[in-house]
Amino acid sequence: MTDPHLQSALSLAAAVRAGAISATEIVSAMLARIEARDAEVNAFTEIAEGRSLADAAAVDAAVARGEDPGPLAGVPFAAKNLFDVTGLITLAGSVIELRRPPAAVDAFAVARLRAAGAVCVGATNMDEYAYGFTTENPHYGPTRNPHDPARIAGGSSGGSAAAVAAGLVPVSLGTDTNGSIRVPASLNGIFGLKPTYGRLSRSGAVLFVPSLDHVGPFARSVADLAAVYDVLQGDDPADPVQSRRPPEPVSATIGQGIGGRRIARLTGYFARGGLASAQAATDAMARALGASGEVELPDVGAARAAAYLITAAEGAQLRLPDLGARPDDFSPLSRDRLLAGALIPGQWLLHAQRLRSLFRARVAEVLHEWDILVAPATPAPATPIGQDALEVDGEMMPLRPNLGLYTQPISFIGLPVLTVPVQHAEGKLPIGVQLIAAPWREALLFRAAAMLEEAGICAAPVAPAFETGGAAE
Amino acid sequence: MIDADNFDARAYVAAAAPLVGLAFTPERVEQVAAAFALVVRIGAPALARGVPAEVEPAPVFTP
Repeated sequence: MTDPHLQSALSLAAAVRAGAISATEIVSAMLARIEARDAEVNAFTEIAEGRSLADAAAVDAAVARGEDPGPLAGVPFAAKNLFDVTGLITLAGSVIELRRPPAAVDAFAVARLRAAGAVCVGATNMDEYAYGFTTENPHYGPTRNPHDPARIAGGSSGGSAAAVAAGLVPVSLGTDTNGSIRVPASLNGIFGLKPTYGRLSRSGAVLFVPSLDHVGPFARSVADLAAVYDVLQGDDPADPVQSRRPPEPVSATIGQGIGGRRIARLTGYFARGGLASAQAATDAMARALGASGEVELPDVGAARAAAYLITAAEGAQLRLPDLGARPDDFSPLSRDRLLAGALIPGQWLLHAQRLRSLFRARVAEVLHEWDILVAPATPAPATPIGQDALEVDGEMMPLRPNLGLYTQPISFIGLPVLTVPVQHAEGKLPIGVQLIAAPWREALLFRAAAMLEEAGICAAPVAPAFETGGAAE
Repeated sequence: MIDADNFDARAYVAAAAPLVGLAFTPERVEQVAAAFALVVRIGAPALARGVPAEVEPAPVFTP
């Protein structure tokens, strides 16, 4: 096999399962490629060389014995560094967590992938404690966008997204609280899934805002994204908010199309505040899906504000002991926001949670009329590292919080969202579009995304600068 | 519900911090007050939105 870094996860797994290449050969090649190219994007904070080679050898041994090595046999993957990976310290983007011992047990999501034959090659960079949309991490350096290394990769799962876009791994794991999968998927031009709240177990992941935290995958193809999502599903009693719904695999149905489904483009709030490239990409996706209407969600601004209050209060609550004992070990931006969140009155938090119930009910009425809602994922393509503000319609708005402008109200009510990439939205930069459905309708989103991919409207190739080079060839 | 323009974030932060076991230097009070003022400003649209009495207040959520 040539150029394994350009291959899909499923084609790598098929080759391993067929005995055409060994898992050890693939993992060794990808480790060498990471060694050669990661410095250009700073996607990884730790490499699990010994573990990954041992896991690859175990896959090869299973193949040699004639056993089923799993649907993702030999597929290298990376995990945001808030997931427990046995043998690695779970950093959560902080230096505070460096005091903890290495994880003794894999997070549920990591364990599911490993059981399917996938091989974790390392842990990826992120915003400190997932509180950010840029992965400009002051402790571990910024993750750079593979489409333009002077620009951000988005966050907070920026390292996981950049690793996929740069061809360092075909698939990866992230988390999304207010947009932390969808924002980096958009800025890196890849596919990302934020499932329904409670669909996937979060156990073994450092939580940021338990009321809003989701686990999800990144990939360069819809089929790869579906394959990983299917493997990640499964009951985990260790996560008290996980739904007890049985798994609903999507891979077998992604080619069935969306005939007869009612598609609407979100307007109002979602048509304001972004650059023309974000709106144009959204319009193009809506047209391609055969959108037959436009719809405006009620109270979106209040919903986003309520998500902000819940995020600030819950985010601070989990960090309160360290905020009191070692505040200067936090980066200044995180520290002051977390300390402020610790002081939010209880009445505000309760009010925000009640608004969540109200907004969920209002949007559920809209989703009785429409099957898929189409909206921008980010207000702009990737911006230069260090940039603080974005000019929209002649007005300057703070950049960092507003990267989640369009994602935050949707995750607030736990709806499933699949972010699809549009390449060359602005010069060489890609941008993403959110496909949104009612709870538990992930399968429909996969079918829509697969239709767009099949039509050549969406694609997520390795970023051009990373198509060649490195030691993987 | 709140007047974001006239809210005294500095006084609130200084008074509330000990309630959650935090001890701030005067410099830290200034920094956190600025962050809290931003919380007030961004959160204001939520706080201004009325919620009918029958909306469930328990922190139980099933999408």
